[in-house]
Order: sequence, then structure tokens, then C-alpha cells
Amino acid sequence: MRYRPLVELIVSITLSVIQSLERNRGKRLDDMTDEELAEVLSGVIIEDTDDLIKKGMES
Amino acid sequence: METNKMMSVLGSVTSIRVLGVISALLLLLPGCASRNIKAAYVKQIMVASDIHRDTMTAVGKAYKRGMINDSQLAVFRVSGKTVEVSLRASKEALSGYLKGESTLSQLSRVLSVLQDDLAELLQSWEEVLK
Repeated sequence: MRYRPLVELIVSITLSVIQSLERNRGKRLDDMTDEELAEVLSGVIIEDTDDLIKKGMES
Repeated sequence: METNKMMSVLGSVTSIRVLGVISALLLLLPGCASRNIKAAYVKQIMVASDIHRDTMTAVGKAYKRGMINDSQLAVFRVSGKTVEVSLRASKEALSGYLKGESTLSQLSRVLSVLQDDLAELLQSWEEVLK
């Protein structure tokens, strides 16, 4: 139970990313058409592993 | 001092385990939690991308703090690269599925590989810190 705040933090970050995307579009992902989902998917950024490690080292 | 370092390592291991459990839940749940299966797949890619980003950034931090050495960093890097490639393939496959260019079974195969690769990345922590 010591790590409960951490669990809550990680869950909230993940959910907030999804919710903010849905809010920005004024629509839930569940209610989107295939075209709209494709647009959301195209906005998902997959970052380079080496850049992420470097970012971690610099933070 | 030594105790502090040990607690810090334990904290990281636990964080990664927590991330692992959450990622497993999030990867398994969407099919049940979402009434739109295509939306559920988009969520899976979003969450997997977040897990990849957070885990690799944590690896960088752990290396900087001396919690992992060069060879351990190399192990994480390979696992991270594998997830990155799987993520790109999954995103492309899902994009094709949404456009009606590929089938559900083709997409499921790619997503299944992504889940395995993610699990392997998270397991790397256990292997390295044994």
C-alpha cells in the first residue's frame, strides 16, 4: 500500500492523456468514426528509444 | 547512504513492476471496457507508446544515477528498440485496418507481438537487477 500514490499517479497520467484527446475533439474515442480514429492514431508519437534514454539521462 | 541507494533501487523496481501490472491490465481490458473495438485498439497503441516512453526515460535516469551499468543499459536498449519497432508496425497495421486495407487477424498478430515485446522489456528489469 506504500506505493498506492504511485499507482494512482501512473493511472491518472494515462487516463488524462486519453481523456484530453477525447476532450479536445469533443468526442469520446468510442463514438468516433474510422476516419476520426485514424486521425487520432496518426497523432500518436512513437519516440526513438535512444532519444528517450538520453532525455532520461539529462533530466 | 547504502540504505538510501538500495531503497531507491527497490523503488524503481517496484515502479516498473507497477507499470507492468498496469500495462497488462490496460492491454487486456480495452476489449471488455470499450464498446468500439477499433477505439480499443487505438487506446492500446496510445498506452503502449506511453509505457515505452516512460520506461526508457526511467532507464536513462537509472543509468545516470549509477543504478545500472553499461551492459545492463545495453540490455534495456535492445528491448526498448524491439518495442519501438513493434509499436511502429502495430500503428501501421491498425491504420491499415481502419482504412479497410488489412484484416482483423493480421492486426491481432502484430498486436500480440507488441504485447510480448512489452512484457519482455518490463521483465528486463528483473533479469538485470537479480
